[in-house]
Amino acid sequence: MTHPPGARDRFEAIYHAYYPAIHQYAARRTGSPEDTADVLSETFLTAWRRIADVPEGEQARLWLYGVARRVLANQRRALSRRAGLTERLKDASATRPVSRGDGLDHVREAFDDLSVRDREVLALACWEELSGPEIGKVLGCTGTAARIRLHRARKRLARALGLATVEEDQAIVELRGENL
Amino acid sequence: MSRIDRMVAAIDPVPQAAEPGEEVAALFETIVATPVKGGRRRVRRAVVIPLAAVLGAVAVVVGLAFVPADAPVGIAPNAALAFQRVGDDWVVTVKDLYADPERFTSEFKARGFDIELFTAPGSPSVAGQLAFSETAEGTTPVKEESVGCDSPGGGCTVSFRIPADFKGRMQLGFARPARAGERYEFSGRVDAAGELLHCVPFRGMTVDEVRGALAKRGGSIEEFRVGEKSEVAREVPGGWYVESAVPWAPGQVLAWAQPDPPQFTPEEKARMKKGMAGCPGSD
Repeated sequence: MTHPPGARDRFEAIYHAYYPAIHQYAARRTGSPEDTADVLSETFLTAWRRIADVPEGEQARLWLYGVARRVLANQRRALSRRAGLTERLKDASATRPVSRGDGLDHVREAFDDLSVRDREVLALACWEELSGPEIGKVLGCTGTAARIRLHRARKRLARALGLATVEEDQAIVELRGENL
Repeated sequence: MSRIDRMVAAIDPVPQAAEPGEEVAALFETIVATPVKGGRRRVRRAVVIPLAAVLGAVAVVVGLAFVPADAPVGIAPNAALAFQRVGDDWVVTVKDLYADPERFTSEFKARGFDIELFTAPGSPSVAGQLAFSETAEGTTPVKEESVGCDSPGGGCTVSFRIPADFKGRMQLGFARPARAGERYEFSGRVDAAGELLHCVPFRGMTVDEVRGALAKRGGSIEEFRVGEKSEVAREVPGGWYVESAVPWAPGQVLAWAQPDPPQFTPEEKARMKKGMAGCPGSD
């Protein structure tokens, strides 16, 4: 144990303050309670190990989201390694969730068809209710870059849902999903 | 919140945070008992979190205000924006395209507007243009007024018009000229006037041919994208074919390349021809 005195108290305060938010963040993005538990364990273990790096106040939550995001990305990579074959992945992604009968299946479908990066930026804005600069902190980019990514993701979703306002983008080349 | 945002919010798979149970304390104890130095032992599945419990503890996020405490109430000597009243509208001129978004916001706020404006590097053909605007209603009250840029890489004068009685929230993004070393956030067509491949029929040319055309203008291909999944490649054989390209950074383009000559649809061919209109040697 090499943490300075007070580290445990600080970690405890952060842990209890943000456990619900990180749990919710993970539950929204994993397919099982076990995977959610893994993300929580890894995220808070990282926070414990790097307690000196965790920023003060509300910024701690954004920092934790950023860690949870990387844990999830590793989880996905491990999953695709386990799946082994691209074909199997394709089959898995082709499986549509069962209809929930709430008239939003088309939104869910269009959302699921977006790239991981588009989904993440939209989810951070609409589920975690983060602003552009806050999203930037989670994604490790500038607030401006986050706003632009969000804007492009909204456009792509709107287009997929047939709500596109294409004229605005005509002057600006779409970078084919290239998120800058 | 825009219509799209409301739709995404409506499909939130876990709209409420779970009520923390005994597992919270158990995980805490496991973590703090973990040595902080040494091997990266993984705390794996210390506890299983019940997802069924979905009550209370909803994290409510309060939007941050980005207005500095010393926001000017009038026009500061070095204002980033200038306002001129014309009839029922304000004509807003962006005096400093490189100003921090916070400065724009505070100057709009001083005029009673809830407008967030920011600028980001754009390629020469879009520099100075309004790249996007977003309002809760999905429509924009902004009318683009004028753009004057010394391209490429020069400064721009941008002004636009908004109704004086506009009361909503709005976000505006302008493309500004890129500084050396900056990557574009907004790109025009790579064959538009002012861009590196203007008047070069590059689609279907080999990588070496496109490199040659770029070199004459001091440009290069910074990166490639290959395959169906548009994967990153630093290098491809010079005999491959360029299918498409976009401005990437000052003096650099990003190119999609493939081993076989690309087949273009009639629409693409028409667009390519249109792109060459007015160029030397074109019809």
